[in-house]
Amino acid sequence: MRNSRMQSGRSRLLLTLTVILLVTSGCWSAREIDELAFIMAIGVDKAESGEGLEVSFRIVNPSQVVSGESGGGQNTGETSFPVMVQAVSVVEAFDRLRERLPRRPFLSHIQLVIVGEELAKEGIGGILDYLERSEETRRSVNILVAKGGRASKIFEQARPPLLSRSGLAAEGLLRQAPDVGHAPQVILGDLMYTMQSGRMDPVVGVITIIESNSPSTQSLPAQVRLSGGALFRNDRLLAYLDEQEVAVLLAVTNELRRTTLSLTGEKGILAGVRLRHVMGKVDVVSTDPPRFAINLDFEGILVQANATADNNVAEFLTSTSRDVETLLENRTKALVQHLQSLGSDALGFAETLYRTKPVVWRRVSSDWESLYRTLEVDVNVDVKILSSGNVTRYAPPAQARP
Amino acid sequence: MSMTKSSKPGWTLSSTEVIALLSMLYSSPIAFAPIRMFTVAGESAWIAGLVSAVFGALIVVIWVAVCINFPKRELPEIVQSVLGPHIGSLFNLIFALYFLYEAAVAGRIIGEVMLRVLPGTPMVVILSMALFIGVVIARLGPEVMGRLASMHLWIVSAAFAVVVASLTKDLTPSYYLPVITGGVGPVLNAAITPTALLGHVIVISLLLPHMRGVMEAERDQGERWREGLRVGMLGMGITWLFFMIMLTFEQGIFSAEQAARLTIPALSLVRAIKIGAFFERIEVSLVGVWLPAAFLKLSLFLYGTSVFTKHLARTPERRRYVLALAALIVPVTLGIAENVPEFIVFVNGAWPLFQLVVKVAIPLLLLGLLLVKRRLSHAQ
Repeated sequence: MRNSRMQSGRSRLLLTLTVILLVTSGCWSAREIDELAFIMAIGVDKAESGEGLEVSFRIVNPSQVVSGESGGGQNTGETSFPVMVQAVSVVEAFDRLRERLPRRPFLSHIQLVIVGEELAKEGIGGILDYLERSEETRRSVNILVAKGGRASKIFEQARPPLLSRSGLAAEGLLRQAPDVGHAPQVILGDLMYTMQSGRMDPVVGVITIIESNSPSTQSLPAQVRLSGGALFRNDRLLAYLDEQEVAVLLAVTNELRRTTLSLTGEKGILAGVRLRHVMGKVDVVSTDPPRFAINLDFEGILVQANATADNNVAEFLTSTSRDVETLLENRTKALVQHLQSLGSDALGFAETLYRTKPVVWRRVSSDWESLYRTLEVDVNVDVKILSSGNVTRYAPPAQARP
Repeated sequence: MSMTKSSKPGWTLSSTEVIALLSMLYSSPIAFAPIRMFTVAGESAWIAGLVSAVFGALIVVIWVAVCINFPKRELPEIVQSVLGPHIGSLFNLIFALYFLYEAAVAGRIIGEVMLRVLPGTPMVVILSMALFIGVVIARLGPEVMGRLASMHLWIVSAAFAVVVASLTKDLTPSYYLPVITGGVGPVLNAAITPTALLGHVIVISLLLPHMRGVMEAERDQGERWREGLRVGMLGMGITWLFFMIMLTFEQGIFSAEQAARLTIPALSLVRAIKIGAFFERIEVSLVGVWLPAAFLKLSLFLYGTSVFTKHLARTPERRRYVLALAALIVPVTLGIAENVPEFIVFVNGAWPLFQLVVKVAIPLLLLGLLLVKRRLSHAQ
């Protein structure tokens, strides 16, 4: 009797101790939600003085997020506010931020990092290393370059009218990027891979602030635009690619979901085709010397036709397919030439060679840079337009009343 | 009322519970082993993972072959039966030290993983919590461990299903190529680490004596052999499957080059889970699923140490040693390495080689001596 009572007492003591240990052992790492400042975006620029960095933050304004999302309440302000600090490094910038922010900066929900053009030209390796080491950031954080200017300007001026988590709308634009094809969506993990492997040059999305020149729209808040790509060599900005080049690049690297092409003629737009089910591939045709083929397969839908296609719709779709093929072939060849002239392998020829013909890669890797500039590349494009939309024929406006 | 076989004292574990308990050993290989595999074998790491399954199966065969000859007897008794009282005690001391160190390594792995989630918490506090739970479970014995493991296995399986379902779309097939570019050597070398960890199936020698049914002494040796193999292979196989899922996904998501740089690739992998804009940041839940398995592994090796200590001290009761051994583990755990990189070097360097000596060389020696003894007795 006494024994069983002792045993039951001991069990209770053990249970109590277990619960206390489990509950309290995390107290050292406790982070109360009302004591955190959620950083949604970081902008990094070279300081205007030339020494150190200017780091911009977009921090969530919790009261505005609540009123904005409640539906019934009226959103009177912005969901986030900008803070700029000067520091020697990004690490120090966080300490500087804590000098003026009553809450602990919290990076776990960060959506994007924008790098100013000047800093991108000097190299972003140190910033990426900080982001990669930080226990709060994720490898899925988006990286962008502020073309022709400073990230801080975007942080200060951008006021997109639609609510977004970062307050800059860029994460929403990035989500749509693979459906538009005008900008790549590059995350930290992928950027680290391409930069470290040395076999492929990364292309990062480009963000710009839309300047309003029209007097009627000057009073409207500034908005951002995601278009084009920033080509990096090692960790430095090398050149920019326009949106047409980016669309082709994304198709070749199989990162494009859909895009729209317009065929133009003397009388303006002849047809608009939405390309989807994109399959892009780089193949090794021969190894001595290495010769490659870019194979692109698309399915498309006719979304606009400003032409009287007589009565033969099928023939019109076939001829439009051939026109799109020619257009894409020319754009792909132009992109390859542009990249070869820059000495930048952004389409992944070296990566393909390494993955599929490792022995050949080992042989040519030391001379790859010179070899790449004279590389022969075949381009094969196959476009099938499968539908003409809700109508089969173009209906030209009547020339005269009957 | 007649006593059924299953209710006979001493026969406390079902085969399912032993399989579940062996499956919980997955908690170790997924933490740091892939780092060395990616570093040594590069893109062939997944092939090294496949090779490790073959080696793991061979280790199961060796241990079951040793155990079925001594039904209802635990490893220390088997060792003394084969090697005699003096050399047997020496080998039992080696096993005791190995089990103690393995428990310390298990504690350190728990500490290092938890520090990623609770970076402000001192290691000694995390370790004390782990050891406290380990002591409670180890004192309660294999029966409680088996029950806990068989319940937890379902939760672990569900967690792995979440990992597979949510990350398959993000795999890059080209990251699995090229393979065996440096010959078979690096692949076999890379397979050493997971093989050593799959060799944790050594604990089967402490569990089979407690298993109900065909492992009982009165059963035919052939029946015991088949059942032992079934349990060992399934237990090791589930551990290997969980490990292989993590290894292949780490390679397919990060690439071998990047995964080799990560401190804990498995943690980075579960951090990458993202479905839409709402299903993300679930790594804490998945670490919460991993943690009980890691506690069970720690408890199992703490239990093993207490069994060997009891035998070496020639006392009938093992429970009294558990708390003292746990106290001994604390400085060992903290002293293994000063920091994470040093710990990674240790668990991927000398430690697997020592593990292979204990898990492969010694049982092979026992098996060899057993066969020689049997031949001699037949000849006489």
